[in-house]
Amino acid sequence: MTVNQPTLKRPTVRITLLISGFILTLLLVLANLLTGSVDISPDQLLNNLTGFGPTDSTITTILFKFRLPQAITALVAGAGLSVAGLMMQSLFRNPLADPSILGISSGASLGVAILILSAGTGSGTAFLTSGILGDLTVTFAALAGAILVMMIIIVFARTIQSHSNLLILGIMVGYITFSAVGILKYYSPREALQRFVIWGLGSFGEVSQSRLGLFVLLTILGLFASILLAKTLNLMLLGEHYAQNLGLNIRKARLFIILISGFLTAVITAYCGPVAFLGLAVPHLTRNLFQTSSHQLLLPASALLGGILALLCNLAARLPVFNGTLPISAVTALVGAPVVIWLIFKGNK
Amino acid sequence: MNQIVKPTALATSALTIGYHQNGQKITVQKEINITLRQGELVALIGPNGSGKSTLLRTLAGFQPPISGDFQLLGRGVKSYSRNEWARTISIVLTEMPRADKLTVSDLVASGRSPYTGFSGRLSGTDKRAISLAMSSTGITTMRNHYLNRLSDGERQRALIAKSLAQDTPIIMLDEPAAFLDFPGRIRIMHLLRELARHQQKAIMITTHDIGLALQYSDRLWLVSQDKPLLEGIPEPLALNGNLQQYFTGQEVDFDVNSGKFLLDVPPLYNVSVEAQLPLHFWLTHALNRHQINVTRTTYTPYHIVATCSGEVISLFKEEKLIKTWVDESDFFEHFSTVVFNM
Repeated sequence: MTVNQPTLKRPTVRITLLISGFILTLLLVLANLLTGSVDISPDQLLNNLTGFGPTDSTITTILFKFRLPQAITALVAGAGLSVAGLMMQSLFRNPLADPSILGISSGASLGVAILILSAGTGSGTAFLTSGILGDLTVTFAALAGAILVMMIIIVFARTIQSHSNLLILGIMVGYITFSAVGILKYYSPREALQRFVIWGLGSFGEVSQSRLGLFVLLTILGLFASILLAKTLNLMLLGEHYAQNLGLNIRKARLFIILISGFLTAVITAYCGPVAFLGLAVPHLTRNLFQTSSHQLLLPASALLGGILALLCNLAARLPVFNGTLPISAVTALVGAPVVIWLIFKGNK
Repeated sequence: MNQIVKPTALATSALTIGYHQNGQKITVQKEINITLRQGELVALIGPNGSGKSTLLRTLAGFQPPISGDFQLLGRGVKSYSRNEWARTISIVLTEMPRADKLTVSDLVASGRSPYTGFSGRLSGTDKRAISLAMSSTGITTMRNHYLNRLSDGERQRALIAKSLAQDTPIIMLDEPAAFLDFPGRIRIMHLLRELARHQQKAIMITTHDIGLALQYSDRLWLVSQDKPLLEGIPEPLALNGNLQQYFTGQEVDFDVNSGKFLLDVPPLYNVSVEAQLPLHFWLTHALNRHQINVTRTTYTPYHIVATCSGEVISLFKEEKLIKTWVDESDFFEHFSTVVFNM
């Protein structure tokens, strides 16, 4: 009887999961708003958010200028990275693929390295290390680097037939950019280096209120575009030959997948720095939780779960015990890796 | 009864196949003229490197021919769009989709891709085609199983169901029986025969297993490195010596009397055997294994005679009794020690 059970159970289980996911997201956003170096009580939060009751300008500032943008950034970035990772895993049919597999986030690092480290040798350091202008140039440099690498990959993708060869090329491009960054690091002064290292650890707190709108818009654009590829991704999962035999134009499909996944990765890395692990782990979690390989469900569910995990990590990183904010990439792996390990052991039983 | 000509599904005209390597064209088979008909199961047989896979890949549209052309349902392939092609030929390859959490019904449903729109949403017709495909391959009860957890035979069935859902007049299968155990092979071949007969599919398989191909296919396409493609119905190919010819020089010989392939070595003795079926068959079987040829003539020095019920089996040399075994099992157990001292 176990054979026929899932037909009855699955849709209801999945709907329950999705609904609880939304509720959890909401709760985590609220928890993120409550947590930080300044104590805000639930009462104060409610008053300041809704505008009813007594409001406090300091608290309003903290909430709307810092905590809410940070929570929204975490939510959106987590969703985007997870979807980008899912797309890479399905394209390459490789569970180890993640958004950075094609070297796109290394490209972002190179862009930032060139900006911070080479500027660090001159007089530009002061102008870079402070102010909105500095943040904007960093974002722009990261985006430029990421898009440059993505273009190189796309040129390769147009000429190279085999997926696995493309994967290897992507990894090689990643290594080249990585070593270029290494050389730049070697010749740069300590202060610039430190700033670069901090950028490299990733953060959801760098997207200011004024820049949040564009970031959210771009990421959501990428997320919607990914949904259009659901059928394509389902076919890709079967392997190139089966996909082609079912009428898919492999090269075009691959190009679109790289373009959208790369766009999401580039935008998120530009705004938040490289955020490790989410893009690798969340697709696995989603497949296991929702027990499906269908992208019509996996794409939105990965986005939801990625948002939740990012909020959770952002919360964990800012727990009062840490006396400040831990680097987000350190926390994502610390929180997520045990979950994946647990899943693997569970699956092996 | 009128003679019914089965409609042609695929026909090649002077098709030369091969591949490109370092900018050079390497021809594998020249000027192939073959026809695949609806309702027929064709086996493409040949050793590794003979161009079997190249022919399959060319006909399935994965690589262009070097020269020549072929027609699908009477229309040149060049006029086919991607989608039309997907509705005409479906494939089952040796590579298995092994995606995590991919269920049987997901896989079978993917067969409907050429018919669904951009979103991939399944219509009522699609759903009916999917459940029909699963029931004709006997995997309906496994529809929610993960593909990773199935046996090789079940997975092969799921892939065939995908092809059926794809609703193509032509199905091509690469080594469909290669990884299956013996009963599994028989079941798959039987299923393919049924699909050809009852759903009028034109089915082409590649295989190494000539025995299986002779037993189940309506037509053979034999390829080898140094000979042109040989096409025909198994029995005439055997009777007119074509099969024998085809395999000479490959150290095996096709024995037209038994339909078996034997190592091409001279027999130690010739004997004649007098017995009823099935005992005659199995006596021959055992003797052949010991390199003793069983002839149909009685002009041999040695004769083996079994009584009707097989209780006494005797060996004569020029009408002189040499040895008697009390029953079948005695014979099978001990005959080899005697025959080697004949």
